[in-house]
Amino acid sequence: MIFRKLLALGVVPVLGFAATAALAEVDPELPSYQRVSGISGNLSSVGSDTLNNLMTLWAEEFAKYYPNVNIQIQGAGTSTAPPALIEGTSNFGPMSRTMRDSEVRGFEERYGYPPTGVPVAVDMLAVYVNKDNPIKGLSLPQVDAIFSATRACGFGQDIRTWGQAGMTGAWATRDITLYSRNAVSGTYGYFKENALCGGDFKSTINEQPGSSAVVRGVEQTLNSIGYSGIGYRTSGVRALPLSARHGEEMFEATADNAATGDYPLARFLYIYANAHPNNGWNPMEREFFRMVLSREGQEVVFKDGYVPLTEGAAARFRSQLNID
Amino acid sequence: MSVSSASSVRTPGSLLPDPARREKLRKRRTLRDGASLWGVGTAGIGVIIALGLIFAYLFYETLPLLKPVSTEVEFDYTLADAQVGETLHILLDRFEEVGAHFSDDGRITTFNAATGSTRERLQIPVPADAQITSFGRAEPRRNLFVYGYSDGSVLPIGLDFAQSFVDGQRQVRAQLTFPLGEVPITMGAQAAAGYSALAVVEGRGGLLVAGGTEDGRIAAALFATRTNMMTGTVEVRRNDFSIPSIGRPVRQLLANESLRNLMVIDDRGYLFLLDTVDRNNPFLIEEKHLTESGVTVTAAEFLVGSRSLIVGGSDGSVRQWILVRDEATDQPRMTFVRSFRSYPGAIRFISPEYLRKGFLAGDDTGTVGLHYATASATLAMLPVTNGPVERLAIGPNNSRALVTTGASGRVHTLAIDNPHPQTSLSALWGKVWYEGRAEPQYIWQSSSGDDAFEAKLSLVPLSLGTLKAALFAMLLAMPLAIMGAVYAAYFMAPSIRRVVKPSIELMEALPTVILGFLAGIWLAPFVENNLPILVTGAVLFPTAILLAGFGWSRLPASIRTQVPDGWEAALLVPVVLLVGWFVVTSSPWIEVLLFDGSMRQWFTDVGIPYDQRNALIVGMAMGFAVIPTIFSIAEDAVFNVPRHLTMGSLALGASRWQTVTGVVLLTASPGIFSAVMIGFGRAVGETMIVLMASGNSPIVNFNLFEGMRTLAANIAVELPETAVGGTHFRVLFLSALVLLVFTFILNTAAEVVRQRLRKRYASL
Repeated sequence: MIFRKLLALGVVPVLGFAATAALAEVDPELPSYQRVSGISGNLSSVGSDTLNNLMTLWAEEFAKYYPNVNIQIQGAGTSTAPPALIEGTSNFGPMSRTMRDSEVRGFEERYGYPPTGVPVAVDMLAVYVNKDNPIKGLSLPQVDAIFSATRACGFGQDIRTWGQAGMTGAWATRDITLYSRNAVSGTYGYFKENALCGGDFKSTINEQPGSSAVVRGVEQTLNSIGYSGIGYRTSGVRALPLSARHGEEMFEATADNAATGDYPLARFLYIYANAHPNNGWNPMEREFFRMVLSREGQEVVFKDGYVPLTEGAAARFRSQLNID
Repeated sequence: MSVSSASSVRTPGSLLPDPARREKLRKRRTLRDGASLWGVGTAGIGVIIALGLIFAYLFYETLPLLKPVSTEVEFDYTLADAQVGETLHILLDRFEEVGAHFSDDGRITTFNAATGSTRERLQIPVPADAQITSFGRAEPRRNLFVYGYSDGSVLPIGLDFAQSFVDGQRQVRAQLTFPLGEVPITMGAQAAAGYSALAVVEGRGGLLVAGGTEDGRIAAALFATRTNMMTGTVEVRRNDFSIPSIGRPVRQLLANESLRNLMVIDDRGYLFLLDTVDRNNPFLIEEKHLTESGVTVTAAEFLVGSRSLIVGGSDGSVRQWILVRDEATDQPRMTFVRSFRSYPGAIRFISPEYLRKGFLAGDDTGTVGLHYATASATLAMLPVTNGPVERLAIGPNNSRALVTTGASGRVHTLAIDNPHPQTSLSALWGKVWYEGRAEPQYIWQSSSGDDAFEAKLSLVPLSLGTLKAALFAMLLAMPLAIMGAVYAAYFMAPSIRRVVKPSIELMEALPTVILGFLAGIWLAPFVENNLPILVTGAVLFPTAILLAGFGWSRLPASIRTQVPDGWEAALLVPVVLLVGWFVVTSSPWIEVLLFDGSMRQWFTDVGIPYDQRNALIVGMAMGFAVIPTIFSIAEDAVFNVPRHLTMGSLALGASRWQTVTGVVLLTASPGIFSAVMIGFGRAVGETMIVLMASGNSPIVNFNLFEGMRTLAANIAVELPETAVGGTHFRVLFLSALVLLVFTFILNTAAEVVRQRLRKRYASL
């Protein structure tokens, strides 16, 4: 009894603090989710690894409202989402980039109408270095010169050592070990398009099957650099401030910099679904999206380390989906 | 009662069952014989059939890659509106059911692509007292165009095919969009009275509009856009360029999506490459003649992604040029990559595919050809009309194309079946010159987030990676496993052997995913931080073991006889442990003494690339996985060498060592050989260890300190992501087939060699 009392005393204030902290960062204008009746069944999601934790947390949140809904989540990589949606093996396709034209076309060929993509959170694709690496930051052309064989962003020279990236002392001669996601990943595709200006990766990159594997690799290798969603940041790595052009001010990966567009690798994370343009939504999927775009859903986003949507953005997406 | 009557029949004293029972037993035996014959036979044939089915299935999935391209004229009709004005452009909507015809009076007519019947007419706004004098377009997938008017203003226009669904039926409606508003804009300080060529491009950071005049002046304006993610508001900033005049009539203007370069083609076939990175100070990088001397450029078009330029000449030649960075000057240079089959007449028009690196070209004589850049392939070439081809439009799905001829408004449609042009023998196995690269290379980089990406599907890095991983694994596993097997079978005391053999075989039960996990997460960083152990270990272990053996042989017989025969190996255990301890603890000292504190850094300084997850780590982990296989089979082979052979050899005075090398090894060689080959086969097909411990870098070298990407790991990584039925999907199946053929050839060769060895030593 005493033990339980202590526990209660100890836990409640902590929870209370966490809740207020979360509320402070999530737009208070966001509407609270209201449960509706008659929702039950199975939902499945196949797609992004970056969104994997987030989907799991949303599924838990959703299950609080609808205990009869059973949700299965697979997160191998963004590129697994379109095939699963097209083959009809999943309801949701979480993706960390927008669908390619060819993927949309594959969907249209099967169903006759395009899939519906909903931005559900903002991620900052972070460039990580080992926590013991003292580098201040990088510009995107430098990041391109480090990762890319083609240097499409136009940096003057290939960067193979940290010295070429402007570091001095013992770091000047250290070479760079590159960690990357594998090609299934939307993060890989997004990075290629936006940080490498559409160029090619070097063949020497270490392709890791998951975001956490990339971060883990960077943790273990002193001279390494890698990239992953901001939600995977750990104490062993540091997310570098980045600038869009060489020589300009570098911005930390923070929510404010993401919203203003100062941080150059901020992106939306999406959930794609199959909504018939005439018949509308399957009620279960509609309620899931309503929950995700509500205050409760966006608090989950904040808790998982990503940037929640503001009410302005969420309202825009809700009205686009006709789920207000 | 019946029991007693039955026993009365039996011959007293005989143990044989009575005849009736014998008959029954005989029947049962034939039944069992038959059943086992059929059962075993069916199972055996079933295995072969299953294997054959795997082969057949892989073939079936790969076969479409080999299917030839078919192109044929489908319909031909006359477009009513094409007869009124001159044709500026034609295109097809994304379902390839609706075509659009742009005429020089500002009209856009959409029509049914199968019949040519008019659907809708749209009118471009034209300022009062002005005519349309020029027209430009972005790459096809953007559906973005720019009209130039005689008053010097220009208007970018988008054409959208909006879909709506009425009662489940798709309705397509064409509509105009105005990315910069409906009011025409004027560009540059020197507003020209009409441009001779226009370009518009939606690239990284904004929309660029450029125009060039008859006298060589060029004006360009960039409308940089920035979107606030949360509010969705778009900020547009306009930048005007002041571009030096090229002094020649501008025939064609091209701007790439990176917005870094502007290309101007003049009337002689020269290309002027301009650098537009600095908006205030654009400059000319180089001037290059794109065709042979005396030949002018009659058509030039970017492939999707605007990284390579297809140039058609008045002599019917078709060439591909790309921008390659010159490392010395750090400036891009136009570089000739490849040429395609020549046409009989001058090239009139080039229509690039929307999402791939293919294109359609048409010439003066009415010949239309289909090409694919990456594979250097001319896939089809056929005469479509009698007159010169005027405009071409390939559909977004690459299955239909429109061809217009002259002013008659005649349209031919082509039905094209060309699902997998990316693969050819040379594209899969040869060096390919990809966009943006300085030279032809073997590269595997299969996909990206954008369709403009040129898929690089060379199987060479994967095949070499597979061999590399297997080779390093065998280098470690073979000597250890075979020597261990000979020792265990021939020298070891039976009591130790009874423990050692099953324990080594137990290693095989260790899931490879765990081995790979340990190798990647623990071994790789450990080795990187203690690199000297590789050198000291490789030197000290064999030396210490040999020294210990030598020392043992020098000891007085009284001590040596204390250890029972076959137990000598146990004496090595402390030696090995001691050396192991020394190797690990001495590592930092050696680094300080010899390598300036870090051997890892020393590698970099002497120019050896080192990756934490490399072939060495994979070799160790996979060697560990392969050792039990080789050991177990080789040990059986050595152990089963007939006793009379070894005894005979010993009796004739040969020493035990002579017996091993002269008799045992030879007799057991077929078995040892097949052990090695089975081990190799396992190493080639191993997936999880390589996946987790290698970094999966598709590089083409045999550096011990860099990683690799193997066929098996590549399939495991990429198959779940691919669109079913796509080229990438089929190439992965092809790589599976390659892997199967690899192991098939290997095993067949091994079996042949084994049979020959067996025949040769059977006489012993």
